[in-house]
Amino acid sequence: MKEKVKSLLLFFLVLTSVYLTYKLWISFPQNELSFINKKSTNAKVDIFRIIRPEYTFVGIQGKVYLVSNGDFSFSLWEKTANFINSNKEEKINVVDDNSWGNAQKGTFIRFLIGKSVNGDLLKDIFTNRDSWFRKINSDIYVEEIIVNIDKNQIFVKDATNKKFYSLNYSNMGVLKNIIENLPKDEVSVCESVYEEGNTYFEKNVYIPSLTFSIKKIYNKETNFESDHRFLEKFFTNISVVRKITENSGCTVYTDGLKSLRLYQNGYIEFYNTISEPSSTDKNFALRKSVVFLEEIGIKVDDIYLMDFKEEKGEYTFYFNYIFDYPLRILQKEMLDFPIEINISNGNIKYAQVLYLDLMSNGSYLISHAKLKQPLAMGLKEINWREPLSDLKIGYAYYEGQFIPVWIGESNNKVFFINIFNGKLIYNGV
Amino acid sequence: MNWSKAKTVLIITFAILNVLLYLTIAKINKPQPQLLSRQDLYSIEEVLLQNNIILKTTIPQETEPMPLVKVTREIFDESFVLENFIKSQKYEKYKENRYTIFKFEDKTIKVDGISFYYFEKSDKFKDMSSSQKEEYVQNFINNYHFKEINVQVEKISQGKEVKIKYFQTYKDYFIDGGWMEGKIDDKSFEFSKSWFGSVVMEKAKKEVINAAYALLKLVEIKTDAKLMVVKEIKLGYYFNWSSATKGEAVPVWRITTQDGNRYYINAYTGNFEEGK
Repeated sequence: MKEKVKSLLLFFLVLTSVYLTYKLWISFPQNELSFINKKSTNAKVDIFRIIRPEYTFVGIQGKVYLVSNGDFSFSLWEKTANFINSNKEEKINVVDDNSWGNAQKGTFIRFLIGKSVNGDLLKDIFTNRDSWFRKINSDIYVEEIIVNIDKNQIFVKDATNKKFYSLNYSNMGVLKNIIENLPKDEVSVCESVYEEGNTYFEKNVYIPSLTFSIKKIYNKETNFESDHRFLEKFFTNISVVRKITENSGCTVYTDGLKSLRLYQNGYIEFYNTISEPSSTDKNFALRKSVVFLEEIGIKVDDIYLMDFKEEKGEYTFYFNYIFDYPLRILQKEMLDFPIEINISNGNIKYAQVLYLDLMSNGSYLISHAKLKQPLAMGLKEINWREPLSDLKIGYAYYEGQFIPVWIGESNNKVFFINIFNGKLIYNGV
Repeated sequence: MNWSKAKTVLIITFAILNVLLYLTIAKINKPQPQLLSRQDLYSIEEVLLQNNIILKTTIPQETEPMPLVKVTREIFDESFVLENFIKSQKYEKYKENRYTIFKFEDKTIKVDGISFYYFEKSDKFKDMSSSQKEEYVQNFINNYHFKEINVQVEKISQGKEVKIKYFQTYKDYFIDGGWMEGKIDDKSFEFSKSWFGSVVMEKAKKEVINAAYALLKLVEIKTDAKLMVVKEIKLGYYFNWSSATKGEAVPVWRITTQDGNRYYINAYTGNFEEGK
């Protein structure tokens, strides 16, 4: 009996000791430093994943394919970049519109880079010492890159200076092999809807010509308010952070120097008034932005750099979400870009982020007829006076829904047509 | 091996370990008031003087750990005005910026949700003595249920004008932004109020910086060579959020200068908070 009591007492004392050790451990401040205060961005950031095409088309023997799988599109981009990095071009020429038009004939890969990317930022991807980026002015804004395998040439479109460059290579066998073994389930066969005399389009615009598949996507919602770990990513010491409920329904957390506002529509807004001057360049600033996004839990594989601004030493980066196809924000009260980050003096000055955790639950299968008919209806409804310069597929984000849409562009105007019913969602006016 | 003996040794060891752990935890968590030495105070005054900052107040010496407080603003909206003042009278209503303005008889009321303003013009104030004016303010406050318990009162009588100011307090700490004022002269009576209807202290207390540190922050804030005279330094709570009616107020050192400027230093972090 006595031994039993002693065993029980020992057991109790061991448990108490474990509990008291835990209490002592948590009495000390944890995580004194957060990423916001780190002066250098040492984390390895794969900028290659952030600067990538919005759309990829492949042309083989007169047929055009739209790469409908984001991973495959990325893989083509990666292989093209590797080719550029490991092969020195023979010649660089400035070419005319005709040559640019011919670049999209035969066997080719065409990368559309969204709103264009500054040459300086691309330098981080094309790191070849003797690469063409050293020979072309760094103020270029690359909007499209076409790899023409038949011609052994890579064409670059500079949107700002309205110039086309061609880079001549001796051989493109590596890329030819990839194209010849194109996995047919990762691409959609396309047809051009451009016809001579047709007033809708001003050039070749490709749309899928067979049954088309697009993923159903949704946002896995996160409740930040009950997540203290989320706050720790923004504030050095959350015990001094106070919570304010604004009349608009937003929740604000602040320590007086930094503040985090959580909107009900999923946006988060972060402001930092701490400014310790440190030198920075746009590549460092981009890395810093990406590290920040990764730290707060944004899946970097689901975003890409869409636009960039530089003003008085401050850098503003605009990112967009992509899930095979890019996202477009339609709500008027929301910003045009889901993610905007401003870097000043090497620190994050502010960040506005539509916090999305994109997931897929199946796919929509749309027959060619069901794809084309609503599109024709939508185009009639627009009654557009000018021909369209482009027509692409994307997701329109509206009140938490991701609606597959046609994105039409003309003379800097954009409109959206619901892919299923042809209804105009937003006429760009 | 004698298992029974081993158990006894382990029991004693763990008992001693637990006592030590308990005492350490108790020591860490025990709030310790911070005191400034005479030498510290002298050095601070010297540094301030070198930066053209003169102290015309005593530096509070004792500070104790303080928690955040949850505050909710008192709401002054249209229904408040209609129920308490206008009732069945005829009135005119219009909007001016963020204010809704009501006019009835010779009275004007302005509300913006979180603040209240009343103005009354009348000949009846002409022959009132100072004490009658004071009584009129008190009666107004009582009749319209504006009366508050946790207040610090300041009465100013200047010529024919009598002004009574009420500042909101909570456990001897000021609650910045919680105030009401009644002002009366020979022609008119004015009353304004902005108050926190609910102030609830949270559980977790945290060390606050001492007043000296807050004063030294002035050196950092002050950018010109002009003389700054510090009239008061006080510990209290701060909630400067015009777009919110509820939230947590943070402990601050409020430094008031002779020219009326106010500086708020976060008493947890020692950082300068916005607002003057």
